[in-house]
Amino acid sequence: MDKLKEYLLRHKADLDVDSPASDTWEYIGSKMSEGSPRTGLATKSGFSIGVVRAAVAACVIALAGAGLWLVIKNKKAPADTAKHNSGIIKKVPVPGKEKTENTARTEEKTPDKDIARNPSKPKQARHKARSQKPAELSDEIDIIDKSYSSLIDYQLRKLRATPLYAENGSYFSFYTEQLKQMDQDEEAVRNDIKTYGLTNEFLEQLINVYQQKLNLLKNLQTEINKMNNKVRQKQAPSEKAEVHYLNI
Amino acid sequence: MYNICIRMTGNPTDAQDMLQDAFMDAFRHLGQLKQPGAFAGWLRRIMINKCIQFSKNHVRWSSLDQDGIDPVTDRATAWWLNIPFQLVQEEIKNLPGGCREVFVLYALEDFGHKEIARNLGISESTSKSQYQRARKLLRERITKKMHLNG
Repeated sequence: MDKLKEYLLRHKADLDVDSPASDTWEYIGSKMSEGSPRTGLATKSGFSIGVVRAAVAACVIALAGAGLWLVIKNKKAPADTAKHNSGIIKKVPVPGKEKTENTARTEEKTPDKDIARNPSKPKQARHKARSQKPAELSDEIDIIDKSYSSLIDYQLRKLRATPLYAENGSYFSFYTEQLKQMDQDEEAVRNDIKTYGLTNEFLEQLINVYQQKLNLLKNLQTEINKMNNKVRQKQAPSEKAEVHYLNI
Repeated sequence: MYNICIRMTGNPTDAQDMLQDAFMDAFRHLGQLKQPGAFAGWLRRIMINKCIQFSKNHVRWSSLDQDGIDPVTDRATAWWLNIPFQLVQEEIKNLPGGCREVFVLYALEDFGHKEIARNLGISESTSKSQYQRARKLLRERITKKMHLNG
């Protein structure tokens, strides 16, 4: 071995003549109790800067990607919606609608001729096209009705089948009353539709009622599950609890 | 521990930062220490790794001209005997960045040149030449100071 190395290794302890500033250990102690490192020169080291740079670069790339995705999505969305709507109209026939559609189709096929013959005709065509709107809306209402009704029915069946260990059905009367109120709201909206015709506003109101119903049923299910879990945790395995079911 | 840091960094500010960083790292990863008896060695290793990382980020390595370094002559005389340790420590700290780290790792932390090369990201021959440079500078500076002080 190198003689100097040998000598220095042998007297290594004698070389340890330096000591840190008096407050260094106190500072380290306080930082350790805080659990966070000091923002000193060490944190400004190349390694830390490199990590920060990499993180910033990753964020920029992610944001750029998200932006690009949004732009592409926005471009595609109208076309997709149009396709989707046309598909829906074809799939779900509505009584009395076929006639309207046929009329609209024949009128759509001939506008060029009409324009050539009589310039005032396009106005009529446009008017007829607008009258097609309620038919489309009634299609939509049918679809919404079906999907929401099936969801609500499913949730109701689930609730009826859920056993109540802690309380009987009357404990949840608040929920059942709310549900009744929502049924009345739904009925009112439907009556409005019958009286004034179907508009986007009514459709929106109807969707809101459905959504509220679903939320309510979901909350009720969560509440029942919570109570049942509490009872199961507290109860000894040998004990048998009285079981009730919800009449909703 | 502080002496390892100050020899590796060459200045008290960086040494204190290294010391603090190493303690914080050790504190955070205390769960990884399997044998409590090995704490001192484990902490020392963390400290050295911190210093190596610091050197890697702060030292610009350049290939060294071997001319003027005569390891045979240098090794022939034990010039280091009877030199106050305080002076040796002082001159180690004053060595230029690059050769200082190699010297400390090789002569005081008992690393091999291969290990130094791997840790600092340099070639083995660079490590050897930097060590020789450090020895030469140490000898020159210490001898000069000894003459000045009589």
